[in-house]
Amino acid sequence: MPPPPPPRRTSGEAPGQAPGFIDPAALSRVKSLQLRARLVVEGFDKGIHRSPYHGFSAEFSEYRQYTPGDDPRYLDWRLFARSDRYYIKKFEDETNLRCHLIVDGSRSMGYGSAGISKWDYARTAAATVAYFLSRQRDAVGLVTFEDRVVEYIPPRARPGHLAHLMAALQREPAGKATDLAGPLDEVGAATPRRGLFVLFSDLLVQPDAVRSSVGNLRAAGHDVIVFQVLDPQEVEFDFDTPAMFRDAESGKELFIDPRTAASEYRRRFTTHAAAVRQACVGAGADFEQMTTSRPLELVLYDLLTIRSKRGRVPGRNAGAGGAR
Amino acid sequence: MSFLAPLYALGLLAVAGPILFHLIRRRPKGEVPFSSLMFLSPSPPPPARKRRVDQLLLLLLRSAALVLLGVAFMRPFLRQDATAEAGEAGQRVVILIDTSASMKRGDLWKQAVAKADAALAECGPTDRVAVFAFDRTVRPVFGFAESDQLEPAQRLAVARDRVKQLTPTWNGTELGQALIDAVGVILETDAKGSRAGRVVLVSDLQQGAKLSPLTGFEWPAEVGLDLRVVADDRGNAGLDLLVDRSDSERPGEPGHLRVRVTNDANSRTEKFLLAWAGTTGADIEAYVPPGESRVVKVARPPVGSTPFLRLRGDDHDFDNALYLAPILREELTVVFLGADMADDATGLRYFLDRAWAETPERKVTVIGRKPDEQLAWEEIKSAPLVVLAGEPSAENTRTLDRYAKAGGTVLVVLTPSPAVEEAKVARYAMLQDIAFDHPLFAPLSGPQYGDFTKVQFWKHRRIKDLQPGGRVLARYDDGDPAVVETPIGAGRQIVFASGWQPSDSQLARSSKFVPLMTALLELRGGRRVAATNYRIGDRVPVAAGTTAVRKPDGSSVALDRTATTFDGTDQPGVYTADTQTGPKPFAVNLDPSESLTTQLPPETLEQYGVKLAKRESDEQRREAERQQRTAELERSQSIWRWLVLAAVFVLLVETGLAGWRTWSQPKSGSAP
Repeated sequence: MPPPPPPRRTSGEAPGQAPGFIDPAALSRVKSLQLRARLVVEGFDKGIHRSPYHGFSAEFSEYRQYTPGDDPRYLDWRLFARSDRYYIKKFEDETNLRCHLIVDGSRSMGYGSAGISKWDYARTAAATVAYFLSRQRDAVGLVTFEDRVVEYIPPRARPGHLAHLMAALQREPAGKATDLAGPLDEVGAATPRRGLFVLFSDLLVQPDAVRSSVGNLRAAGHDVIVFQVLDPQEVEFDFDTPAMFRDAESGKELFIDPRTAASEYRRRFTTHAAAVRQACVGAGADFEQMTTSRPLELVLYDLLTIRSKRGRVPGRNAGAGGAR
Repeated sequence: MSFLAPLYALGLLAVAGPILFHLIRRRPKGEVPFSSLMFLSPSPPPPARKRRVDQLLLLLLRSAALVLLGVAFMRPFLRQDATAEAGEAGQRVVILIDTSASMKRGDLWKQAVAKADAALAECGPTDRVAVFAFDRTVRPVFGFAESDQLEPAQRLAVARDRVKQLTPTWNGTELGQALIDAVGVILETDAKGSRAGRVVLVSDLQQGAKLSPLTGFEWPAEVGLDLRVVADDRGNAGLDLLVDRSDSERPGEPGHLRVRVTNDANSRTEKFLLAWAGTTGADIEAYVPPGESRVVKVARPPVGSTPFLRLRGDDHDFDNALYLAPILREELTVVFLGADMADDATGLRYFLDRAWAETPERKVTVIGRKPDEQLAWEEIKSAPLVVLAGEPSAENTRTLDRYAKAGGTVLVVLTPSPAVEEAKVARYAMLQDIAFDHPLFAPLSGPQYGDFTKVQFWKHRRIKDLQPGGRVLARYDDGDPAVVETPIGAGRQIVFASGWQPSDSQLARSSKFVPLMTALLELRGGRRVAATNYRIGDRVPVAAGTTAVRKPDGSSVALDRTATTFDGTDQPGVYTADTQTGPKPFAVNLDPSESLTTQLPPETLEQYGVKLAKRESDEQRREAERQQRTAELERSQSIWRWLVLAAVFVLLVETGLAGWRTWSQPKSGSAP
């Protein structure tokens, strides 16, 4: 297996090195998620131009010959009168970017050693993205899942929807095991139109599960961005005393002596992380790994970078939903 | 040493628990939650040399406690006592034979005798047998004491002979109470042998049998009920008089009786005919579907005759007659000696005329005479009451004296006259110190009736000196006597110090007047027996002075003169009580629930908690008895209690020892 690419370094990765960014642990002390999101986005705005608002109505795109199974509502009868042939009128998608934020609420996400849990970090990141996108009238939806979908809010761009999303994110998860495939397939099936899926999860599952579920979403034509949220201890594993380690999801306990187990852990963890990255990238999704000590503004930055690479900057929304 | 529940020996395996716990390595104290253990493998356990038994005494104590508990659960007992005590004690068997009226159907009684014989024959030589008959009550036919004195063969013959002498009665079926009594007899007999017993019930188990006493009874586990049901599958219909006649009839109106006709669920007919036996009236048709009942209106028979209502059309005759006491109307004459006219609404006589309303049973006529008018002895001889308001002539005084001595009641109402002193009443007087124990006031003795404060007396006269034997029955609140009774011979004189007319008092217009006047009327003849629809076995109230009661079959039962009730209603029909004022008939009918002859399913008894005995072979029975004896022996020895106590003691020692070790360890460790 090839060695995993080194994690992307930005100038503000560590809070101590980047006074311009807000420390996530400090941010987690702000109770209101909406306020957290605003703080992050406003900080981010300082270095970026505002995106102009875009509103689209139904715009004619092209004709296509009618094939049985097409919706007869879109038949062009005038053309039929002229040419005696059936043609379907195709329109530009009516909406702006349709973005699904998918946040893992499983019990393993509750782990946090640096003052902020992975769940708190992930939901703040999701709230930030939601706030940012809703400011430019993009439709944002939310999915929280554990071993099944817990909350599903379809993408909307109407006023008040953001508050609805924030309230849903504010709810603490019941905390159960992770199952990636089921919820993602479920959401994919419930979303016929193409859109953007942003997944926040620790991805502590088998890489095959990631590959199949992300691949399914990609196969349905969706754009997928995966943010793997990890705790610094999960990456470093620098415990020092032997103890019973309890699995947050299964409750299973193991006696672990970190002095003997750490190196093996790091090796296996790195392999897994690389496999997960490979699974996502291989399926055509964009992948970013981040720890909870990383400033949240960078999430937004990563998102925009990825989108601009693909030529679909959410801020410059040019028919992101694609044609019907 | 034997064990009642040897399977609990498996519990001794729990001894392995403490040993394993001792050997298993202790968990590290710290616990670290971590997101996922998927990248971790367990670290190797501590070296094996650490695993050894280091608290041997504690281990032994803990194991000992578990062993003691396990052995206690096995319920140990000492067998040698058991064999010594296990005498061949037989069962106690009570044979209960139903002799209620419903057993008169068809050949039920023959069947019942045959089944009782069979049950007697089945009893083993060591069993103790008693025979009881029951209907409304339980009667011993052949008791345990008698049975114990006889040889088994002799016993069987005597018991069979006694059963043959039994006949079904007319009584209802109190099955519940009979079963309870039978169980009581089995349990209380004596402490010899086991408490196990069996009740053999020979009965038609009819629906009308009353089981309600069983609801509050806990059927003992050691007594079984062996059902020997006799059956007749033909249907039956019965009669029941619904309302007492006096409630549904008005004087002068042709009365109707409401009769309920019930038809059995397994009856095959639904058309029945009702007719008064001995009269020529037309039959009344009644359609009653099986399992239902209908109320039929039946015209009353002619006054004076004593016919009975007969039902025709069903298969069984025993409950087809409904008897009705004939109405014998009392014609009473009350003599009023006074100056008041009958139509003078301010006088005494006016209210007297209206005090006794006419009823189907009684008509009271008031005859008015002037106080000085010649009073004929014949006229007042049989009168229940003579009211005197005024000064009678000397001759009348003698007549009244003779009347009173013959048992009559003379009511003297004091009227204003020069010979009587008028009391000074401030505004009004009220009654107090009322003798509610006296028959005159007894009807008003209830707390809801005894309030005389609303009866105000504007005027009254003073009764100066009481005659010997006189008793003040009520006083005015100024202390003067208001009502005084003086016995004269067999009769009495009662003096009212005030009249009841509106110028004297509110008495006539109060609710107390009619009860008082009726009580005065009944002082001589006593209360009339209300001719209602009694049931067989009911206690019938009779008037004081009743000498005898004639039964429907012509026999007569002499009664004590002081008797107030008659208990011998053992056959349906019209009875006649010989009272001082002439014969008073009353009717006694069969308990209508006897007509409900559909057989009860045995499950009904089980619903009441009755334990039905299974017919089991002798071998099974002996095995069950042996097990029961063993259980009793174990119960009496109760070795398990000592074992549990010992286990508790061992645990206490263990706790103390463990506590002491924990306390002493750091102390020794801290000393360098």
